[in-house]
Amino acid sequence: MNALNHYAGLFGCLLLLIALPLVHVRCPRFDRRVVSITIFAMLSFAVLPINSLPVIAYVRGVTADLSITSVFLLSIFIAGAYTGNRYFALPEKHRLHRILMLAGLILYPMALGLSPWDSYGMGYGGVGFALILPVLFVGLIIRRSWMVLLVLSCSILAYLAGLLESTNLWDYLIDIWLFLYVSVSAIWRLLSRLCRNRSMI
Amino acid sequence: MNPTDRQLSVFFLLVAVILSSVFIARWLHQPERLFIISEPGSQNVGGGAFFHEQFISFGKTPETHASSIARRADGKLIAVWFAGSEEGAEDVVIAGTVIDPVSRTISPSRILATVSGTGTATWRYIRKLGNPVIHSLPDGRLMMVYVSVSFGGWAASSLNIRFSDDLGQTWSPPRRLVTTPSLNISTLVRGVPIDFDNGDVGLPVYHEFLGKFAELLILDRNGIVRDKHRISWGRETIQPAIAPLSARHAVTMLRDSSEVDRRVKASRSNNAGQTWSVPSSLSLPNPNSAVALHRIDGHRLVAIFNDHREERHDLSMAYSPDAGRSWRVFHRLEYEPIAKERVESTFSYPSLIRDQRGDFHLTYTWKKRRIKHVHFNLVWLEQKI
Repeated sequence: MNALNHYAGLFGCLLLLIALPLVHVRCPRFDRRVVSITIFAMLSFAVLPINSLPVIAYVRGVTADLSITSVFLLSIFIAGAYTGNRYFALPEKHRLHRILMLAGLILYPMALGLSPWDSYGMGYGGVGFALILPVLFVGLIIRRSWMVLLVLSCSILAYLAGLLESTNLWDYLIDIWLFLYVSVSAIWRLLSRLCRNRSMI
Repeated sequence: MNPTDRQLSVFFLLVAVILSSVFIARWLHQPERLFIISEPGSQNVGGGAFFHEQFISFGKTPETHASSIARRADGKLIAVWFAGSEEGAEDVVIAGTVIDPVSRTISPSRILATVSGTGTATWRYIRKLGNPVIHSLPDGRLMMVYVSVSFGGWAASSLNIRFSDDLGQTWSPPRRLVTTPSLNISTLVRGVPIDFDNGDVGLPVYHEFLGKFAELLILDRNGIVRDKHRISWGRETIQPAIAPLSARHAVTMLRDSSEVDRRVKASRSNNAGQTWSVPSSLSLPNPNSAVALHRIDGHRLVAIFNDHREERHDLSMAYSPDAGRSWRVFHRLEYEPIAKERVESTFSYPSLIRDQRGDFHLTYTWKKRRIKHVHFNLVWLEQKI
Protein backbone atom coordinates (compact mmCIF):
# COMPACT_ATOMS: atom_id res chain seq x y z
CA MET A 1 0.00 0.00 0.00
CA ASN A 2 1.56 3.27 -1.03
CA ALA A 3 1.04 6.53 -2.82
CA LEU A 4 0.80 4.64 -6.11
CA ASN A 5 -2.55 3.21 -4.94
CA HIS A 6 -3.88 6.72 -4.41
CA TYR A 7 -2.58 7.95 -7.77
CA ALA A 8 -4.13 4.96 -9.54
CA GLY A 9 -7.46 5.47 -7.75
CA LEU A 10 -7.51 9.21 -8.41
CA PHE A 11 -6.50 8.69 -12.05
CA GLY A 12 -9.53 6.49 -12.65
CA CYS A 13 -11.83 9.16 -11.17
CA LEU A 14 -10.10 11.81 -13.26
CA LEU A 15 -10.77 9.82 -16.44
CA LEU A 16 -14.41 9.51 -15.43
CA LEU A 17 -14.65 13.28 -14.89
CA ILE A 18 -13.15 13.93 -18.32
CA ALA A 19 -15.20 11.28 -20.11
CA LEU A 20 -18.61 12.38 -18.82
CA PRO A 21 -18.78 15.72 -20.71
CA LEU A 22 -17.07 14.15 -23.73
CA VAL A 23 -20.07 11.87 -24.20
CA HIS A 24 -22.08 14.97 -25.07
CA VAL A 25 -19.29 16.79 -26.94
CA ARG A 26 -18.69 13.81 -29.16
CA CYS A 27 -22.23 13.07 -30.17
CA PRO A 28 -23.20 15.97 -32.45
CA ARG A 29 -19.97 16.48 -34.31
CA PHE A 30 -16.37 15.54 -33.63
CA ASP A 31 -14.16 18.57 -33.08
CA ARG A 32 -10.63 18.17 -31.74
CA ARG A 33 -10.51 21.72 -30.39
CA VAL A 34 -13.69 21.27 -28.36
CA VAL A 35 -12.39 17.95 -27.04
CA SER A 36 -9.07 19.56 -26.03
CA ILE A 37 -10.80 22.43 -24.25
CA THR A 38 -13.11 20.00 -22.46
CA ILE A 39 -10.17 17.87 -21.30
CA PHE A 40 -8.27 20.95 -20.08
CA ALA A 41 -11.33 22.35 -18.31
CA MET A 42 -12.07 19.07 -16.53
CA LEU A 43 -8.40 18.66 -15.56
CA SER A 44 -8.41 22.13 -14.01
CA PHE A 45 -11.70 21.43 -12.26
CA ALA A 46 -10.44 18.09 -10.92
CA VAL A 47 -7.47 19.61 -9.07
CA LEU A 48 -9.43 22.56 -7.67
CA PRO A 49 -8.92 22.46 -3.88
CA ILE A 50 -11.95 22.51 -1.57
CA ASN A 51 -11.23 22.27 2.17
CA SER A 52 -7.67 20.97 1.56
CA LEU A 53 -8.86 18.22 -0.79
CA PRO A 54 -9.05 18.47 -4.61
CA VAL A 55 -12.42 17.99 -6.31
CA ILE A 56 -11.22 14.62 -7.58
CA ALA A 57 -10.97 13.37 -3.97
CA TYR A 58 -14.66 14.20 -3.48
CA VAL A 59 -15.47 12.25 -6.63
CA ARG A 60 -13.41 9.35 -5.26
CA GLY A 61 -15.35 9.52 -2.00
CA VAL A 62 -18.54 8.80 -3.93
CA THR A 63 -17.40 6.56 -6.78
CA ALA A 64 -14.68 4.59 -4.94
CA ASP A 65 -11.75 3.36 -7.05
CA LEU A 66 -12.69 2.33 -10.57
CA SER A 67 -11.54 -1.04 -11.88
CA ILE A 68 -8.61 -1.30 -14.27
CA THR A 69 -11.07 -2.45 -16.94
CA SER A 70 -12.97 0.83 -16.48
CA VAL A 71 -9.72 2.81 -16.60
CA PHE A 72 -8.77 1.01 -19.82
CA LEU A 73 -12.17 1.60 -21.44
CA LEU A 74 -12.30 5.25 -20.35
CA SER A 75 -8.78 5.81 -21.75
CA ILE A 76 -9.80 4.28 -25.06
CA PHE A 77 -12.96 6.38 -25.12
CA ILE A 78 -11.09 9.65 -24.43
CA ALA A 79 -8.36 8.78 -26.95
CA GLY A 80 -11.09 7.96 -29.48
CA ALA A 81 -12.84 11.26 -28.81
CA TYR A 82 -9.59 13.13 -29.38
CA THR A 83 -8.35 11.32 -32.48
CA GLY A 84 -11.68 10.35 -33.97
CA ASN A 85 -10.54 6.74 -34.29
CA ARG A 86 -12.43 3.69 -33.00
CA TYR A 87 -10.03 1.43 -31.09
CA PHE A 88 -12.56 -1.20 -30.11
CA ALA A 89 -14.51 -3.07 -32.80
CA LEU A 90 -18.21 -3.23 -31.91
CA PRO A 91 -18.52 -7.05 -31.79
CA GLU A 92 -15.50 -7.21 -29.45
CA LYS A 93 -16.88 -4.43 -27.30
CA HIS A 94 -20.22 -6.20 -26.99
CA ARG A 95 -18.45 -9.44 -26.14
CA LEU A 96 -16.61 -7.70 -23.31
CA HIS A 97 -19.90 -6.20 -22.16
CA ARG A 98 -21.51 -9.66 -22.05
CA ILE A 99 -18.59 -11.05 -20.02
CA LEU A 100 -18.73 -8.15 -17.58
CA MET A 101 -22.49 -8.38 -17.24
CA LEU A 102 -22.28 -12.10 -16.46
CA ALA A 103 -19.47 -11.42 -13.97
CA GLY A 104 -21.51 -8.68 -12.32
CA LEU A 105 -24.59 -10.88 -12.08
CA ILE A 106 -22.51 -13.51 -10.27
CA LEU A 107 -20.64 -11.03 -8.11
CA TYR A 108 -22.99 -8.35 -6.80
CA PRO A 109 -26.08 -10.21 -5.56
CA MET A 110 -23.94 -12.71 -3.66
CA ALA A 111 -21.60 -10.04 -2.28
CA LEU A 112 -24.64 -8.14 -1.01
CA GLY A 113 -25.57 -11.10 1.15
CA LEU A 114 -28.26 -12.77 -0.96
CA SER A 115 -26.57 -16.17 -0.68
CA PRO A 116 -24.54 -18.06 1.92
CA TRP A 117 -21.63 -18.20 -0.53
CA ASP A 118 -19.68 -15.01 -1.19
CA SER A 119 -18.36 -14.86 -4.75
CA TYR A 120 -16.28 -11.80 -3.79
CA GLY A 121 -14.17 -13.98 -1.46
CA MET A 122 -12.96 -15.90 -4.53
CA GLY A 123 -11.04 -12.78 -5.58
CA TYR A 124 -8.66 -13.06 -2.61
CA GLY A 125 -6.80 -15.94 -4.25
CA GLY A 126 -9.17 -18.88 -4.30
CA VAL A 127 -8.71 -21.59 -6.88
CA GLY A 128 -11.82 -20.43 -8.77
CA PHE A 129 -10.08 -17.81 -10.89
CA ALA A 130 -7.20 -20.20 -11.61
CA LEU A 131 -9.72 -22.51 -13.27
CA ILE A 132 -11.98 -19.91 -14.91
CA LEU A 133 -9.29 -17.70 -16.46
CA PRO A 134 -7.66 -20.27 -18.80
CA VAL A 135 -11.09 -21.36 -20.07
CA LEU A 136 -12.09 -17.73 -20.66
CA PHE A 137 -8.79 -16.94 -22.36
CA VAL A 138 -9.01 -19.97 -24.69
CA GLY A 139 -12.60 -19.03 -25.59
CA LEU A 140 -11.54 -15.47 -26.41
CA ILE A 141 -8.50 -16.66 -28.40
CA ILE A 142 -10.76 -18.90 -30.52
CA ARG A 143 -12.96 -15.86 -31.19
CA ARG A 144 -9.86 -13.68 -31.79
CA SER A 145 -10.99 -11.09 -29.27
CA TRP A 146 -7.57 -9.56 -28.88
CA MET A 147 -8.70 -6.30 -27.31
CA VAL A 148 -10.81 -8.12 -24.71
CA LEU A 149 -7.82 -10.34 -23.94
CA LEU A 150 -5.63 -7.27 -23.62
CA VAL A 151 -8.09 -5.58 -21.21
CA LEU A 152 -8.35 -8.70 -19.04
CA SER A 153 -4.57 -9.29 -19.06
CA CYS A 154 -3.88 -5.70 -18.03
CA SER A 155 -6.42 -5.90 -15.21
CA ILE A 156 -4.96 -9.15 -13.87
CA LEU A 157 -1.37 -7.88 -14.13
CA ALA A 158 -2.39 -4.70 -12.27
CA TYR A 159 -3.87 -6.95 -9.55
CA LEU A 160 -0.66 -8.93 -9.25
CA ALA A 161 1.29 -5.66 -9.05
CA GLY A 162 -1.10 -4.32 -6.35
CA LEU A 163 -1.86 -1.14 -8.26
CA LEU A 164 -5.12 -0.33 -6.46
CA GLU A 165 -5.91 -0.26 -2.73
CA SER A 166 -7.87 -3.46 -3.08
CA THR A 167 -6.28 -6.89 -2.73
CA ASN A 168 -9.22 -8.55 -4.45
CA LEU A 169 -9.04 -9.48 -8.14
CA TRP A 170 -12.72 -8.63 -8.70
CA ASP A 171 -12.00 -4.96 -7.98
CA TYR A 172 -9.50 -4.88 -10.85
CA LEU A 173 -11.85 -6.59 -13.31
CA ILE A 174 -15.15 -4.84 -12.63
CA ASP A 175 -16.75 -2.08 -10.63
CA ILE A 176 -20.39 -1.27 -9.99
CA TRP A 177 -20.41 1.69 -12.43
CA LEU A 178 -19.05 -0.46 -15.22
CA PHE A 179 -21.60 -3.16 -14.42
CA LEU A 180 -24.43 -0.62 -14.52
CA TYR A 181 -23.10 0.82 -17.78
CA VAL A 182 -22.83 -2.55 -19.57
CA SER A 183 -26.21 -3.65 -18.21
CA VAL A 184 -27.97 -0.50 -19.41
CA SER A 185 -26.17 -0.75 -22.79
CA ALA A 186 -27.24 -4.37 -23.17
CA ILE A 187 -30.86 -3.60 -22.30
CA TRP A 188 -30.79 -0.63 -24.70
CA ARG A 189 -29.41 -2.81 -27.52
CA LEU A 190 -32.01 -5.47 -26.84
CA LEU A 191 -34.86 -2.95 -26.90
CA SER A 192 -33.53 -1.34 -30.09
CA ARG A 193 -33.36 -4.76 -31.75
CA LEU A 194 -36.89 -5.60 -30.67
CA CYS A 195 -38.18 -2.29 -32.03
CA ARG A 196 -36.33 -2.86 -35.32
CA ASN A 197 -37.77 -6.35 -35.70
CA ARG A 198 -41.27 -5.08 -34.97
CA SER A 199 -40.99 -2.28 -37.55
CA MET A 200 -39.79 -4.82 -40.14
CA ILE A 201 -42.88 -6.93 -39.46
CA MET B 1 -5.49 -18.05 -39.18
CA ASN B 2 -3.05 -15.40 -40.41
CA PRO B 3 0.48 -15.11 -38.90
CA THR B 4 -0.46 -12.15 -36.69
CA ASP B 5 -3.40 -14.03 -35.25
CA ARG B 6 -1.18 -17.05 -34.65
CA GLN B 7 1.38 -14.93 -32.80
CA LEU B 8 -1.33 -13.28 -30.70
CA SER B 9 -2.88 -16.68 -29.92
CA VAL B 10 0.44 -18.01 -28.67
CA PHE B 11 1.09 -14.83 -26.69
CA PHE B 12 -2.28 -14.84 -24.90
CA LEU B 13 -2.09 -18.59 -24.32
CA LEU B 14 1.22 -18.00 -22.60
CA VAL B 15 -0.30 -15.18 -20.57
CA ALA B 16 -3.17 -17.49 -19.54
CA VAL B 17 -0.79 -20.26 -18.50
CA ILE B 18 1.44 -17.89 -16.52
CA LEU B 19 -1.47 -16.18 -14.75
CA SER B 20 -3.14 -19.50 -13.91
CA SER B 21 0.16 -20.84 -12.56
CA VAL B 22 0.50 -17.76 -10.34
CA PHE B 23 -3.04 -18.17 -9.01
CA ILE B 24 -2.59 -21.89 -8.38
CA ALA B 25 0.76 -21.27 -6.64
CA ARG B 26 -0.86 -18.62 -4.43
CA TRP B 27 -3.75 -20.93 -3.63
CA LEU B 28 -1.42 -23.80 -2.75
CA HIS B 29 0.64 -21.54 -0.49
CA GLN B 30 -2.31 -20.15 1.41
CA PRO B 31 -1.43 -20.54 5.09
CA GLU B 32 -3.51 -22.73 7.36
CA ARG B 33 -4.73 -20.44 10.11
CA LEU B 34 -5.57 -21.68 13.60
CA PHE B 35 -7.00 -19.66 16.45
CA ILE B 36 -4.68 -18.61 19.26
CA ILE B 37 -6.33 -19.57 22.54
CA SER B 38 -5.14 -17.30 25.31
CA GLU B 39 -5.04 -19.11 28.63
CA PRO B 40 -5.79 -16.97 31.69
CA GLY B 41 -2.89 -15.84 33.86
CA SER B 42 -2.16 -17.34 37.26
CA GLN B 43 -1.45 -14.16 39.25
CA ASN B 44 -4.95 -14.08 40.63
CA VAL B 45 -4.81 -17.52 42.20
CA GLY B 46 -5.37 -17.10 45.93
CA GLY B 47 -6.46 -13.46 45.56
CA GLY B 48 -9.80 -12.14 46.70
CA ALA B 49 -12.78 -11.42 44.53
CA PHE B 50 -13.15 -7.92 43.21
CA PHE B 51 -15.53 -6.03 40.98
CA HIS B 52 -14.74 -2.40 40.29
CA GLU B 53 -16.43 0.06 37.98
CA GLN B 54 -15.57 3.60 36.94
CA PHE B 55 -16.25 6.07 34.15
CA ILE B 56 -13.45 6.52 31.67
CA SER B 57 -15.06 9.33 29.68
CA PHE B 58 -16.61 12.28 31.41
CA GLY B 59 -19.41 13.60 29.27
CA LYS B 60 -17.40 16.41 27.66
CA THR B 61 -19.29 15.81 24.42
CA PRO B 62 -23.08 15.44 24.24
CA GLU B 63 -22.75 11.93 22.81
CA THR B 64 -20.20 9.18 23.43
CA HIS B 65 -20.68 5.69 22.08
CA ALA B 66 -19.27 2.38 20.80
CA SER B 67 -16.24 1.77 22.98
CA SER B 68 -13.62 -0.90 22.41
CA ILE B 69 -10.85 -1.94 24.78
CA ALA B 70 -7.50 -3.70 24.33
CA ARG B 71 -4.63 -4.66 26.61
CA ARG B 72 -1.31 -3.03 25.81
CA ALA B 73 2.03 -4.83 25.86
CA ASP B 74 3.01 -2.93 29.05
CA GLY B 75 0.04 -4.33 30.97
CA LYS B 76 -2.05 -1.18 30.77
CA LEU B 77 -5.30 -0.96 28.82
CA ILE B 78 -6.33 1.34 26.03
CA ALA B 79 -9.97 2.11 25.28
CA VAL B 80 -11.37 3.98 22.29
CA TRP B 81 -14.84 5.27 21.38
CA PHE B 82 -16.47 7.88 19.19
CA ALA B 83 -17.57 11.21 20.61
CA GLY B 84 -19.23 14.35 19.26
CA SER B 85 -22.35 16.47 19.24
CA GLU B 86 -24.43 13.51 18.04
CA GLU B 87 -23.99 10.20 16.24
CA GLY B 88 -23.28 10.84 12.58
CA ALA B 89 -22.31 14.49 13.05
CA GLU B 90 -19.27 15.88 11.25
CA ASP B 91 -17.62 16.83 14.55
CA VAL B 92 -17.48 13.22 15.76
CA VAL B 93 -13.93 12.08 16.55
CA ILE B 94 -12.38 8.83 17.67
CA ALA B 95 -11.12 9.41 21.20
CA GLY B 96 -9.20 7.15 23.54
CA THR B 97 -7.73 6.81 26.99
CA VAL B 98 -5.21 4.65 28.83
CA ILE B 99 -6.24 2.79 31.98
CA ASP B 100 -3.83 1.41 34.56
CA PRO B 101 -5.56 -1.74 35.84
CA VAL B 102 -3.47 -1.79 39.03
CA SER B 103 -3.78 1.81 40.21
CA ARG B 104 -7.02 2.30 38.22
CA THR B 105 -5.85 5.70 37.07
CA ILE B 106 -7.14 7.02 33.77
CA SER B 107 -5.14 9.25 31.46
CA PRO B 108 -6.82 12.33 29.95
CA SER B 109 -8.63 11.27 26.77
CA ARG B 110 -6.94 12.01 23.45
CA ILE B 111 -8.28 12.42 19.94
CA LEU B 112 -7.03 9.53 17.80
CA ALA B 113 -8.83 10.19 14.51
CA THR B 114 -10.82 13.00 12.91
CA VAL B 115 -12.93 13.44 9.80
CA SER B 116 -10.46 15.80 8.15
CA GLY B 117 -7.39 13.76 9.11
CA THR B 118 -8.93 10.60 7.71
CA GLY B 119 -9.99 12.37 4.51
CA THR B 120 -6.55 13.87 3.90
CA ALA B 121 -4.70 10.62 4.55
CA THR B 122 -6.99 8.44 2.44
CA TRP B 123 -7.34 11.01 -0.36
CA ARG B 124 -11.11 11.05 -0.40
CA TYR B 125 -13.96 13.06 1.03
CA ILE B 126 -15.14 11.80 4.42
CA ARG B 127 -18.38 13.03 5.99
CA LYS B 128 -18.48 11.26 9.34
CA LEU B 129 -16.78 8.69 11.56
CA GLY B 130 -18.28 5.76 13.45
CA ASN B 131 -17.50 2.61 15.46
CA PRO B 132 -13.84 2.05 16.31
CA VAL B 133 -12.25 -1.25 17.34
CA ILE B 134 -8.85 -1.50 18.97
CA HIS B 135 -6.73 -4.63 19.24
CA SER B 136 -3.33 -5.57 20.62
CA LEU B 137 -1.37 -7.72 18.19
CA PRO B 138 0.80 -10.59 19.46
CA ASP B 139 3.94 -8.58 18.51
CA GLY B 140 2.90 -5.74 20.84
CA ARG B 141 1.66 -3.29 18.23
CA LEU B 142 -1.79 -1.78 18.49
CA MET B 143 -4.23 -1.94 15.59
CA MET B 144 -7.23 0.34 15.33
CA VAL B 145 -9.96 -0.06 12.73
CA TYR B 146 -12.75 2.50 12.50
CA VAL B 147 -15.72 3.27 10.34
CA SER B 148 -15.99 6.27 8.03
CA VAL B 149 -18.74 7.39 5.69
CA SER B 150 -18.39 9.59 2.60
CA PHE B 151 -22.07 9.85 1.71
CA GLY B 152 -25.36 8.52 3.06
CA GLY B 153 -25.93 6.70 6.33
CA TRP B 154 -24.16 3.86 8.14
CA ALA B 155 -25.08 1.51 5.31
CA ALA B 156 -22.45 3.37 3.27
CA SER B 157 -19.65 2.74 5.78
CA SER B 158 -16.10 1.79 4.92
CA LEU B 159 -13.22 0.76 7.16
CA ASN B 160 -9.93 2.51 7.91
CA ILE B 161 -6.95 0.99 9.68
CA ARG B 162 -4.09 2.45 11.73
CA PHE B 163 -1.19 0.93 13.67
CA SER B 164 0.83 2.10 16.64
CA ASP B 165 4.33 0.84 17.47
CA ASP B 166 4.59 2.83 20.71
CA LEU B 167 1.60 1.73 22.78
CA GLY B 168 -0.74 4.25 21.21
CA GLN B 169 1.38 7.40 21.54
CA THR B 170 1.63 7.86 17.77
CA TRP B 171 -0.33 6.24 14.96
CA SER B 172 0.35 5.45 11.32
CA PRO B 173 -1.73 7.40 8.77
CA PRO B 174 -5.15 5.81 8.28
CA ARG B 175 -5.45 3.50 5.31
CA ARG B 176 -8.63 2.39 3.59
CA LEU B 177 -9.58 -1.31 3.70
CA VAL B 178 -11.39 -2.50 0.58
CA THR B 179 -13.93 -5.10 1.66
CA THR B 180 -16.84 -5.06 -0.78
CA PRO B 181 -17.16 -4.74 -4.57
CA SER B 182 -20.08 -2.30 -4.50
CA LEU B 183 -18.38 1.10 -4.01
CA ASN B 184 -16.55 -0.46 -1.04
CA ILE B 185 -19.44 0.47 1.22
CA SER B 186 -21.50 -1.36 3.80
CA THR B 187 -18.81 -2.74 6.09
CA LEU B 188 -18.75 -1.88 9.79
CA VAL B 189 -16.82 -3.16 12.80
CA ARG B 190 -17.88 -3.79 16.35
CA GLY B 191 -16.58 -7.08 17.84
CA VAL B 192 -13.20 -7.82 19.40
CA PRO B 193 -10.69 -9.12 16.79
CA ILE B 194 -9.17 -12.58 17.17
CA ASP B 195 -5.59 -13.70 16.55
CA PHE B 196 -4.41 -16.55 14.34
CA ASP B 197 -1.22 -18.56 14.89
CA ASN B 198 0.39 -17.31 11.66
CA GLY B 199 0.14 -13.66 12.73
CA ASP B 200 -3.07 -12.93 10.82
CA VAL B 201 -5.95 -11.20 12.57
CA GLY B 202 -9.62 -12.11 12.26
CA LEU B 203 -11.72 -8.94 12.24
CA PRO B 204 -15.43 -9.52 12.87
CA VAL B 205 -17.35 -7.22 10.51
CA TYR B 206 -20.93 -6.80 9.41
CA HIS B 207 -22.90 -5.32 6.54
CA GLU B 208 -25.92 -3.05 6.62
CA PHE B 209 -26.69 -2.14 3.02
CA LEU B 210 -29.23 -4.38 1.27
CA GLY B 211 -28.32 -7.37 3.38
CA LYS B 212 -27.61 -7.44 7.09
CA PHE B 213 -25.07 -10.14 7.71
CA ALA B 214 -21.79 -10.92 9.44
CA GLU B 215 -18.35 -11.84 8.12
CA LEU B 216 -14.88 -12.58 9.40
CA LEU B 217 -12.30 -10.46 7.59
CA ILE B 218 -8.78 -11.89 7.55
CA LEU B 219 -6.00 -9.30 7.77
CA ASP B 220 -2.30 -10.06 7.73
CA ARG B 221 0.04 -8.52 10.31
CA ASN B 222 0.33 -5.39 8.14
CA GLY B 223 -3.40 -4.94 7.90
CA ILE B 224 -3.70 -6.14 4.31
CA VAL B 225 -6.99 -7.92 3.57
CA ARG B 226 -6.15 -11.54 2.71
CA ASP B 227 -9.50 -13.28 2.83
CA LYS B 228 -12.96 -13.17 4.25
CA HIS B 229 -15.42 -15.75 5.42
CA ARG B 230 -19.16 -15.37 5.64
CA ILE B 231 -20.66 -16.03 9.07
CA SER B 232 -24.29 -15.36 8.17
CA TRP B 233 -26.32 -14.07 5.25
CA GLY B 234 -29.70 -12.51 4.63
CA ARG B 235 -31.10 -9.57 6.56
CA GLU B 236 -31.12 -10.52 10.22
CA THR B 237 -27.76 -10.89 11.93
CA ILE B 238 -25.02 -8.33 12.50
CA GLN B 239 -22.21 -7.43 14.93
CA PRO B 240 -20.58 -10.83 15.51
CA ALA B 241 -18.83 -11.38 18.85
CA ILE B 242 -16.48 -14.32 18.40
CA ALA B 243 -15.01 -16.55 21.11
CA PRO B 244 -12.48 -19.19 19.98
CA LEU B 245 -12.85 -22.38 22.02
CA SER B 246 -9.89 -24.30 20.59
CA ALA B 247 -7.50 -23.98 17.67
CA ARG B 248 -10.30 -24.86 15.24
CA HIS B 249 -13.53 -24.33 17.14
CA ALA B 250 -15.28 -21.05 17.80
CA VAL B 251 -18.70 -19.76 18.64
CA THR B 252 -20.07 -16.36 17.67
CA MET B 253 -23.02 -14.48 19.10
CA LEU B 254 -24.91 -12.17 16.76
CA ARG B 255 -27.14 -9.17 17.20
CA ASP B 256 -30.63 -9.94 15.97
CA SER B 257 -31.77 -7.26 13.52
CA SER B 258 -35.03 -8.99 12.68
CA GLU B 259 -38.29 -7.60 13.97
CA VAL B 260 -39.59 -11.09 14.67
CA ASP B 261 -37.51 -13.27 16.96
CA ARG B 262 -35.56 -10.71 18.99
CA ARG B 263 -33.22 -13.26 20.54
CA VAL B 264 -29.44 -13.49 20.42
CA LYS B 265 -28.31 -15.70 17.54
CA ALA B 266 -25.32 -18.03 17.61
CA SER B 267 -23.20 -19.65 14.94
CA ARG B 268 -20.31 -22.12 15.18
CA SER B 269 -17.18 -22.93 13.25
CA ASN B 270 -15.06 -26.07 13.46
CA ASN B 271 -12.48 -25.11 10.84
CA ALA B 272 -10.92 -22.01 12.38
CA GLY B 273 -13.55 -19.64 11.05
CA GLN B 274 -13.59 -20.66 7.39
CA THR B 275 -17.20 -21.78 7.46
CA TRP B 276 -19.97 -21.16 9.99
CA SER B 277 -23.19 -22.93 10.85
CA VAL B 278 -26.55 -21.36 10.09
CA PRO B 279 -27.29 -19.00 13.02
CA SER B 280 -29.76 -20.34 15.55
CA SER B 281 -31.64 -18.54 18.31
CA LEU B 282 -30.44 -18.71 21.91
CA SER B 283 -32.57 -18.32 25.00
CA LEU B 284 -31.18 -14.80 25.61
CA PRO B 285 -33.37 -11.91 24.40
CA ASN B 286 -31.97 -9.22 22.13
CA PRO B 287 -33.45 -5.77 21.48
CA ASN B 288 -31.42 -5.37 18.27
CA SER B 289 -28.28 -4.54 20.25
CA ALA B 290 -24.64 -5.61 20.36
CA VAL B 291 -23.44 -8.49 22.54
CA ALA B 292 -19.99 -9.12 24.04
CA LEU B 293 -18.64 -12.62 24.48
CA HIS B 294 -15.51 -14.14 26.06
CA ARG B 295 -14.23 -17.57 26.95
CA ILE B 296 -13.57 -18.20 30.65
CA ASP B 297 -11.83 -21.56 30.18
CA GLY B 298 -12.62 -24.86 28.48
CA HIS B 299 -16.10 -24.51 27.06
CA ARG B 300 -17.26 -21.98 29.65
CA LEU B 301 -18.30 -18.58 28.32
CA VAL B 302 -19.45 -15.28 29.69
CA ALA B 303 -21.62 -12.86 27.71
CA ILE B 304 -22.74 -9.27 28.28
CA PHE B 305 -26.10 -8.43 26.73
CA ASN B 306 -29.31 -6.40 27.07
CA ASP B 307 -31.75 -8.61 28.94
CA HIS B 308 -34.89 -7.37 27.20
CA ARG B 309 -36.57 -7.88 23.84
CA GLU B 310 -37.39 -4.25 23.17
CA GLU B 311 -35.20 -1.90 25.18
CA ARG B 312 -31.57 -1.40 26.18
CA HIS B 313 -32.31 -0.33 29.77
CA ASP B 314 -30.99 -3.56 31.30
CA LEU B 315 -27.39 -4.67 30.81
CA SER B 316 -26.71 -8.10 32.26
CA MET B 317 -24.15 -10.90 32.38
CA ALA B 318 -24.87 -14.48 31.35
CA TYR B 319 -22.89 -17.68 31.82
CA SER B 320 -22.71 -20.74 29.62
CA PRO B 321 -21.04 -23.98 30.79
CA ASP B 322 -21.44 -25.73 27.43
CA ALA B 323 -19.84 -23.62 24.70
CA GLY B 324 -22.81 -21.31 24.37
CA ARG B 325 -25.61 -23.88 24.04
CA SER B 326 -27.36 -23.00 27.27
CA TRP B 327 -27.24 -19.72 29.15
CA ARG B 328 -28.05 -18.50 32.64
CA VAL B 329 -28.23 -14.82 33.63
CA PHE B 330 -26.20 -14.33 36.81
CA HIS B 331 -25.62 -10.62 37.30
CA ARG B 332 -27.29 -7.36 36.36
CA LEU B 333 -24.78 -4.62 35.59
CA GLU B 334 -27.21 -1.77 34.92
CA TYR B 335 -30.92 -1.21 35.18
CA GLU B 336 -33.12 1.85 34.91
CA PRO B 337 -36.83 2.18 34.31
CA ILE B 338 -37.50 3.04 30.68
CA ALA B 339 -37.44 6.84 30.43
CA LYS B 340 -39.49 9.00 28.10
CA GLU B 341 -36.28 10.00 26.41
CA ARG B 342 -35.15 6.46 25.69
CA VAL B 343 -31.48 7.40 25.36
CA GLU B 344 -31.54 8.49 29.02
CA SER B 345 -31.87 4.88 30.11
CA THR B 346 -29.80 2.90 27.65
CA PHE B 347 -26.69 0.80 28.31
CA SER B 348 -25.23 -0.71 25.20
CA TYR B 349 -22.31 -1.76 22.99
CA PRO B 350 -20.32 -3.85 25.50
CA SER B 351 -16.71 -4.77 24.73
CA LEU B 352 -15.08 -7.49 26.82
CA ILE B 353 -11.42 -8.61 27.01
CA ARG B 354 -9.05 -10.29 29.47
CA ASP B 355 -5.71 -8.88 30.53
CA GLN B 356 -2.40 -10.72 31.04
CA ARG B 357 -3.40 -11.63 34.60
CA GLY B 358 -6.68 -13.16 33.48
CA ASP B 359 -8.83 -10.31 34.81
CA PHE B 360 -11.84 -9.25 32.76
CA HIS B 361 -12.27 -5.71 31.48
CA LEU B 362 -15.59 -4.55 30.15
CA THR B 363 -16.44 -1.20 28.62
CA TYR B 364 -19.87 -0.07 27.49
CA THR B 365 -21.89 2.99 26.58
CA TRP B 366 -23.62 4.52 29.59
CA LYS B 367 -26.73 6.43 28.52
CA LYS B 368 -24.93 7.40 25.30
CA ARG B 369 -23.10 10.09 27.25
CA ARG B 370 -20.22 8.27 28.91
CA ILE B 371 -18.14 5.14 28.69
CA LYS B 372 -17.98 2.93 31.75
CA HIS B 373 -15.17 0.50 32.55
CA VAL B 374 -15.82 -2.55 34.69
CA HIS B 375 -12.90 -4.58 36.05
CA PHE B 376 -13.56 -7.94 37.71
CA ASN B 377 -11.54 -11.04 38.33
CA LEU B 378 -12.10 -14.74 37.88
CA VAL B 379 -12.68 -15.26 41.60
CA TRP B 380 -15.61 -12.81 41.52
CA LEU B 381 -16.94 -14.47 38.41
CA GLU B 382 -16.69 -17.98 39.92
CA GLN B 383 -18.53 -16.80 43.03
CA LYS B 384 -21.29 -15.29 40.94
CA ILE B 385 -21.88 -18.15 38.54
